[in-house]
Amino acid sequence: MEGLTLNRERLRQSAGDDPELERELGAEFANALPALMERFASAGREGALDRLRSAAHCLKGSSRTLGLERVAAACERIEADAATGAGDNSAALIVELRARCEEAAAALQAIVMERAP
Amino acid sequence: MRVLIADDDRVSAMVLRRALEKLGHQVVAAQDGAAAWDAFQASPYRVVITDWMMPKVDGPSLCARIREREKAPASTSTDEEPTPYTYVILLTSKTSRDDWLEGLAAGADDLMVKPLDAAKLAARLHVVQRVLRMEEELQARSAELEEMGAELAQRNEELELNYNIAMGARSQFEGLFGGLPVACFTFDEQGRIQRWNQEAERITGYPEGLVIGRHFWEVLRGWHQGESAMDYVKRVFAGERWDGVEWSHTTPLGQSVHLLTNTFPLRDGHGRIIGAINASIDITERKRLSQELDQQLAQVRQLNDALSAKGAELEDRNAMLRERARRDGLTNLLNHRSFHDVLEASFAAARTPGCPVAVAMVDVDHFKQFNDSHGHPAGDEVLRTVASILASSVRAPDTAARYGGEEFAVVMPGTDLPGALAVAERVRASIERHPWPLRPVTVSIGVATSGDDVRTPSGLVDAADRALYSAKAAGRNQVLAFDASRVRECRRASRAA
Repeated sequence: MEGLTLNRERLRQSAGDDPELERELGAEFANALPALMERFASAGREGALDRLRSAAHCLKGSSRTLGLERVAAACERIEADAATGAGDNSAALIVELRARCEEAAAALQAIVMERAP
Repeated sequence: MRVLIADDDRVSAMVLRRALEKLGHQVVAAQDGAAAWDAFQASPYRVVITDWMMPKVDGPSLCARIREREKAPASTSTDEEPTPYTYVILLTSKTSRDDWLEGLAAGADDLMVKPLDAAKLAARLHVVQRVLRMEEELQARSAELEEMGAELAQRNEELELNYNIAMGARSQFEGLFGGLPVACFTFDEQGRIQRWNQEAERITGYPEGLVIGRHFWEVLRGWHQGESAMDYVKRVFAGERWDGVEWSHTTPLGQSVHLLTNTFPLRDGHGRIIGAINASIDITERKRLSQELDQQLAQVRQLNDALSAKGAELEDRNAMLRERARRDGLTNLLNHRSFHDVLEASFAAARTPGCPVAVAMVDVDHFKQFNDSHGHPAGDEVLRTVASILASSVRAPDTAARYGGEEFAVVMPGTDLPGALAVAERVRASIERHPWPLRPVTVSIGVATSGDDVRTPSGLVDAADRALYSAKAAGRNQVLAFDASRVRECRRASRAA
């Protein structure tokens, strides 16, 4: 198994038991996601493996912090693929990452909605 | 604390920022390593928490730059204060041993694994605070040490200066002491010689090398020995001063030297006694001259005494001669001249009213015949006997004298005519009564007193002489007084004729 879409316990720990921060973190992820996905797409298109790897590492960090275990796993795969120097599976891995990110965004959106005043 | 965080992952940065703020720290966030380095250069931070992987400047590079800056001299820093130590924590998803070693080698103090564990972060920051506090104390202690070092250096410089001054003064003292034209030595509280100058060598005959460290009374023969010397030392070290002490020293060659010594304590700048000095001058020559002078003075005194004795003897002789000159050689009575001296003096005294002077002129009767019959020696003997009787017959204030030939005179001060006649009669009677061996001897005596008719010594003698003439004319062996009325008659008769 690749883990949870959203590990709530992890998110709670990272936010330090601060629901407001959890909401802010969810909102930040959602806001940053389009630009991030574009970084992956353009790097994939251009075959820029370093940029691809860097973007994957960055997203891996934030997704682990938020408890987005599946996103993090997808990022690890992209990072590993790019590290080989070939990037053969990058296009498919980016597609997979986008799907995982949309799932995660939905899960986070649910939290944002439930915490909304 | 002010904490600089660097992370290109905004989510991780937000989480870290909130966790730090919750712990009460001030946070400045940089979006990557390059921005963090700019922020750090603008204002150094005591704590930096940085992500490992960032574009342009990654975490290890940021660490290395911070450490480089710390090594640089303070003047190149924007701050004049010494660059404070920065505690750097690397945040990373890397967990391999090699990655961690690389991070520490780059200058990180600690590494933490992502995702962030807030509790671990809090614990680490406690450690950070402790380390930084220690570092601050170390810096303060170092500054103190630096100040102390500077002060010590200054003290050392002062000490060195004082030492040089002291050495200069000592050198001057040694030069002065060594070349003094007075024999000098210094000694300690036990009386041991510390310094010994050239003049001391010359006078005592002992070179410096033989005397240093020895008790001075062992070297200076003739000085008080043993306890009295130690007592002397103690008194000098108690502040007493000894001036004008004389003593003698015998050199190794047996030469005797007389010395005059002053001894006094030596004091430092605070007045504390640090030694004693003895200064002696050679008074051998002076002593010898003084002794010679004493001997000469004694000789002079002896000569003076002898001279005085001779003077007294001479005076006696002179007196005797004077007396002899006043006396008649045959009879030892006053002579003619002395008779007149006595008469003059008596006459001067007789000017007092009611105090006349009487004179008796005495002449041996028929003396020429006696001489012719019995010879001059017998005649002389008669004169001596008459003189003796005359001297013993007159009164104490009266003076008998040989007037000339067989004529004698008696001066009787303060005597009126009856008194004078009584004395004259006693004289005449004594001579008549004397048991003359060859034949009876008598005398005729003329007596006169001073008064209205007789006002001068010569007049008095003349008057007495006239009375003697009358006594001779009247048959001798009798006493007659001068009769002024008869004189006046004679004078009238002679003028008439």
